[in-house]
Amino acid sequence: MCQIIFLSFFRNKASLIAGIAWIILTCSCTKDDPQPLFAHSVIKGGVSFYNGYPEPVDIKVTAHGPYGNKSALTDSSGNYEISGLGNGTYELEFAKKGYGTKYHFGIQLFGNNAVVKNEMLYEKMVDYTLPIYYEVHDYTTFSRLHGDEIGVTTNQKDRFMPVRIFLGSNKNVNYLDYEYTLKGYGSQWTDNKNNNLLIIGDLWQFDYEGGQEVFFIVYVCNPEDPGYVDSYLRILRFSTLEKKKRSAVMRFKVPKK
Amino acid sequence: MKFRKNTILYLFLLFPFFPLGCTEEEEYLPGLTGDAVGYVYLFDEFGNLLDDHSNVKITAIGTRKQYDTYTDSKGRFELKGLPTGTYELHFEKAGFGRLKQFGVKHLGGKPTLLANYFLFKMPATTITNLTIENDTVYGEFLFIFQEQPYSLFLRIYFSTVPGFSRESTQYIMDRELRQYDGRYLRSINLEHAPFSPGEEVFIMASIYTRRTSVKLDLGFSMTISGIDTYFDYELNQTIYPNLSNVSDHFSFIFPE
Repeated sequence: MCQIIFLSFFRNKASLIAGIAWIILTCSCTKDDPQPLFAHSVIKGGVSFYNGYPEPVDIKVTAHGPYGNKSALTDSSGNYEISGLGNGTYELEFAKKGYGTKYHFGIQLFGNNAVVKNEMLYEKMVDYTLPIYYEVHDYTTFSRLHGDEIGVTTNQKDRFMPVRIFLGSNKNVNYLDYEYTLKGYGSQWTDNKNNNLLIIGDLWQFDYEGGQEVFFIVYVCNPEDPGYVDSYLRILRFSTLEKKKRSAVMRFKVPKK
Repeated sequence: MKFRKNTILYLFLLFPFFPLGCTEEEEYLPGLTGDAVGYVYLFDEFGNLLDDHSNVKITAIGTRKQYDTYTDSKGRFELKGLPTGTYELHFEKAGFGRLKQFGVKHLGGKPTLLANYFLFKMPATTITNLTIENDTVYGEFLFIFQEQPYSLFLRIYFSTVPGFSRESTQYIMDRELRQYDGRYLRSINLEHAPFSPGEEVFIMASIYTRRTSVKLDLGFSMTISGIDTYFDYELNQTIYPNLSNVSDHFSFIFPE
């Protein structure tokens, strides 16, 4: 701002050039990322895919730290090494297109550390689209259901339903704020429209009272994905969960025993 | 005339800013900062996990400055923008034993993940009787609440001097007494105690709690291990933060 005001005082070309030079000199020294003096630490390890295939080559492993990011790609055996890292605390990211990205937190590097971090990646359900969900039923409204099950009618004519369900006591339930989570699965039988139902089963294992209203939300997620504990939030996260492929929040009353 | 005036003006403008130009010293040891995240879990005096872990005060003491924060109901706390360094951490909440941790390294950069810390309520239980016979220590207790725990940790102080104080104790033994047939007892090995057979030895005890792991139910099951004691280098002993006041004095005859 001051520079512009100053410039307005100069009415001729020469002084304008001088004014601009002045601005460049004072503004050119921005502060860069800090640079470490010693950068001899290493993070290395092996990455694999669940089920052992395909070949775990070209998985991108990135160390996020105080001096910016540094990446490496795995070789055909899934081995990687990121070297030349300076002192500090890092986060590690394992990514490959079509697979859930996973993270390791709180990796401390000091001096000449070599830290080994291995990981296993799970496939994302990229080809699966959530069906339309119509109505929520229990055994009183749909006799084929077991006493401890809830069934949601859908427009899907296939048993395969790679989804994860999150339960909560309020309508803001989502994958970051929930009480319980479980895999959903498609019913073995179909309804009178030849569609499979989404089954939410084994509900009496949870600390809910019979008749209690519970809200739930459904996300696309690999059923083999066991989840990992988020170290910061102490909740179970799922790397293959697709945030945008989710249902509306629905509700059911817990069936009475 | 005009030209000279302008020249002087330009020099005047440019001159003070030359030192500001890129002559800033390179940072060889960058002043890193970073956040630190940890969890504190609260237990009653018998080691049962409580529901609410909020309002524990955490103080991080560095060489130049002190930082503090509080836990939320899940026990989570976050110290923000902590400079690189080694810290002494204090954990305090009214009614609970105060825990310390020394030599906590914080390198800065991405958040440091601190350990889990366990705090126990100061014991309200009192010791009404304490005897040692036949290589067994027996304790009788008055519990404030109905609950009778499966076991109790006692730190037992021994001395030949009646009415002795904790500071002048001649011998210390830690024993976990277990409930058996309505009584609390445990075997005790006095081989190394500095007393003679037949001598009258006075004893008193304090109650404390020990717990180093717990299974959390967070919607999924997670077993965690935590820090519940610390070593005090000045006193040269392990500190049990929720160690109660000492009981009355009792006595026994040192066996053959």
